[in-house]
Amino acid sequence: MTALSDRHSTFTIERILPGRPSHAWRFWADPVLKQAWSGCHPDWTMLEQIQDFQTGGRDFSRMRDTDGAIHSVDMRYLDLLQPQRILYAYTMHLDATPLSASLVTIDFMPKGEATGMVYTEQLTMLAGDTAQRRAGTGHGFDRLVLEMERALATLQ
Amino acid sequence: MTEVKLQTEQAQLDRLFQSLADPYRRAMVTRLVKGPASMSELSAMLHLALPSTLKHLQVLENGGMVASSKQGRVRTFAIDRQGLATMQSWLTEHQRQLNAGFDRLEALMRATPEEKQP
Repeated sequence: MTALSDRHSTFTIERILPGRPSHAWRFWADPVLKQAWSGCHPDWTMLEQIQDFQTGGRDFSRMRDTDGAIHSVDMRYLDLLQPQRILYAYTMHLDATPLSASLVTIDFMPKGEATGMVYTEQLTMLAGDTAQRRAGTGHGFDRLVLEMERALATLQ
Repeated sequence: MTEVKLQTEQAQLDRLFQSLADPYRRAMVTRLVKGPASMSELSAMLHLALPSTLKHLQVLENGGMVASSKQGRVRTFAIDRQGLATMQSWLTEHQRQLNAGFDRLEALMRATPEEKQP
């Protein structure tokens, strides 16, 4: 395996969401609804935020965590096909260090009254070492096993 | 961390993930998470011949997921905590956060009435 491909990985997450694809779509398109589920750190301070859900639009957030580190996520919507597919590219930074760059495709398929969602991320790790050390702190062995099982479920 | 060390770590992660890409090996890991087991215990549990059991365990050992030790004629396998620590890596954490977000999405979609279809 080349050094380059060691940095690359692709994974998918499949979910059944309650409601039709048009319902699911609102939770990306409406900035308030989007923030309500994607904002995962209530104790972090939002320093800057842009939400522009349209093809070519930018979704950017810069947050300060409780240790004072700055996390930023910079997304660009590449193609939107309502209500079937969302395609975007994004990078993540920790302070000035780039962590990753990804291409994400989210497909919504009607399943009766519900929606089958497939999230596919093609990811290039840019500085996994820094994040790995951060992510590895403060977790007990039980938690590790739990997360491993979760990861196994994702890999299947 | 140097570039070379980072690449080695990523290669190790790949081996680890590949070692888990098999239902027998995942069953072995699920069993070993509860405590160490001998090769014959694992082979009996999975109804696998000893040579196949050994082959799977070697893949897991190579991936850093399990470690083995030999006492007399019995080889015992156990979860390698270092492997688990590797598993608790950037990617795992990233996926965990995504899944947690989708859990919230699901709950929120359920709590929000659907708009009437035009």
